[in-house]
Amino acid sequence: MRIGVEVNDFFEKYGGKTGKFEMEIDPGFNVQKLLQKLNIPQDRVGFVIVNQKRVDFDYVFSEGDEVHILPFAIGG
Amino acid sequence: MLGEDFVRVLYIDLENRKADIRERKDLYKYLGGTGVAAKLLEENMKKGLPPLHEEQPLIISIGPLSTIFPVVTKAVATFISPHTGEYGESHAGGRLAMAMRNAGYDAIVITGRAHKPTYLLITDRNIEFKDARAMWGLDIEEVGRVVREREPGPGKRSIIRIGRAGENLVTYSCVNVDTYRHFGRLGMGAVFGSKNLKAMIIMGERDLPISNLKEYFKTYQEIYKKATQTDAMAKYHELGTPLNIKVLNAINSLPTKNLLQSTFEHADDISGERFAEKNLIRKVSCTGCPIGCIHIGQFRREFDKGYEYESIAVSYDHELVYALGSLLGIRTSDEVLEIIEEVELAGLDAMTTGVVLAWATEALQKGLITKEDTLADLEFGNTKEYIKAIDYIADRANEFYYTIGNGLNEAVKKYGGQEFALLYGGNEMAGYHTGYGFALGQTVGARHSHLDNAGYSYDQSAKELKDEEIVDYVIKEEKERNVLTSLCICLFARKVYDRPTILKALHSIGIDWTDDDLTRLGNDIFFTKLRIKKELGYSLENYRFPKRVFETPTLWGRMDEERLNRLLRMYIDRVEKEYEDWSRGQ
Repeated sequence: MRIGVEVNDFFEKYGGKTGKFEMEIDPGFNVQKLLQKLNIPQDRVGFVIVNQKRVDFDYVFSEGDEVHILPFAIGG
Repeated sequence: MLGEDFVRVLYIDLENRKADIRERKDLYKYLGGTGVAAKLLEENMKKGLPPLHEEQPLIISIGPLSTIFPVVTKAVATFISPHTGEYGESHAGGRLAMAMRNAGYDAIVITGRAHKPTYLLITDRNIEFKDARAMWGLDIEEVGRVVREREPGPGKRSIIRIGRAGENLVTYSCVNVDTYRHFGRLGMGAVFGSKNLKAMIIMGERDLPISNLKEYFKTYQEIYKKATQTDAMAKYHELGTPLNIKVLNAINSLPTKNLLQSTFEHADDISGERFAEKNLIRKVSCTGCPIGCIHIGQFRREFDKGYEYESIAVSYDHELVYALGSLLGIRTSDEVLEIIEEVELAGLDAMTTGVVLAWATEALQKGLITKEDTLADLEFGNTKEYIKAIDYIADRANEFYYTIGNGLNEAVKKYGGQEFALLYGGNEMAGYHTGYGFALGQTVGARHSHLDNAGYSYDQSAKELKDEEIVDYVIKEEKERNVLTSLCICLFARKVYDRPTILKALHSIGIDWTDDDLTRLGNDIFFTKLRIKKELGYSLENYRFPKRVFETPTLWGRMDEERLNRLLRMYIDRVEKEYEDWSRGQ
């Protein structure tokens, strides 16, 4: 099944893909596995938003999910 | 004073054109920065007199680690805020800390009002009171240029100055520090203006007496590596704080159009990424910082017909992009920079200016004020009209601008609209509509800054919201930040300077403090500030939050008014009890 992914540019330094793209995934694929595949360290992730809602790392994707991976906002 | 057990304070009396230096052993236990500046304010303030009375003091302080360790770059100013009428504290980087260090002053206390517009030249050898009549009325850029041309010491000096807003006593006028940094919030610019003080130039050539160079150098290297070779500070250099725009927008936390919305349809167009692509031309640092977090953006402006263009560079960060961007509905990065430039030249605090203009826009829409008041067609997204209004604020162009030049607290008394005036604790809101932690934190923070206690950080990292935990976080974090800011460590480096690192740095220059000493210091500063606030009549009893903050979703959904009031009550009760215990112990 396919999901839409958006990875914030902040994660570019870890070598994985950033920006908006689509991915083909197997059933049972969760956020943790997605982060591993994209080479994003879990402890650097602030928010995983799926279909406008914040989810945990164990969230299992469904067909057509739109996932957005973001760092925490920082003080300025 | 480096290598000594006293704080060297320069006292300047503008009225009588006199200066005095005192070596204060009794202040040594406050280290410097916010600790020393708060104590000096308490000693010198006149509680019965208005904030801008000539006898009220203005204090600037650095700390024992200033400039000689990486990212220890800030100077801390205290004053009675003309904006809130109570404790005023503001921090700035640039070259000021280095210049004070080289001039040999740990703190400067300025009192009195000069008989005519004056600028001060402060060096390690003398203090000069110079005629600034020809500078009065000049904007920030012009006065900087004139001072640079007249005075010696390029590269080593710090030039701090005010613009028209400060001269006209706008209560949220800032003091510009070395062009790209500011004592931004709470109206220090008006304090300068009230003293007929247009600018200060500080420089010196004093030695830095470090007795154990070997240990100092080793400690410096360790901290330098931590700051530059780990992830601790990388994000401040990369996109800088504007990385927040996309993040906050995705989590319903980006205040937009006077917080009618917490997401912005043009967020991508004013994001840190877009600024980096289109406008970023360089990154610079405060003296003594290896990071380079100050992002300079450039835009092009047509200044005459016939294809006449100029390029203009200004610094930008999250708070500016929020307050002068999303909050005003501005749709492009170029336009945000254009508005920032106007705010810079006038010498205003960007955050309060944006929040005041956002309120005025809605007040005009709702008919609480008219075009005769605003003189400009204020509407979200209309850059040109906002630029006009910024000048009107700085010049206090009419009765309406006179009133809003005293901030939203004053504006709502006259025109109404309290329910959509974005104020927390009397100060205009910062750019994080993340939830209860932020709302409580800015309200109760000593200087009503989001950086007092970083409640926005709690909102983001919490798995679930617990009332006790929120109150506890806000109190503990503020005390800990008092330790960092008494040492003038930039808060961006808080992960670099954990307690063991601070103690090691102090030890390397001969200050043998313990972890308990630091805890005592954070606590003492916290309650000293509260004591000052109480002396000035400050109280959060009967405090009312603006309705708007409950109407617009945050990261945690819509906030519940009752719950936020309950949190405030819990905070007040706990702090009052701790304050009583602390006072008894004094």
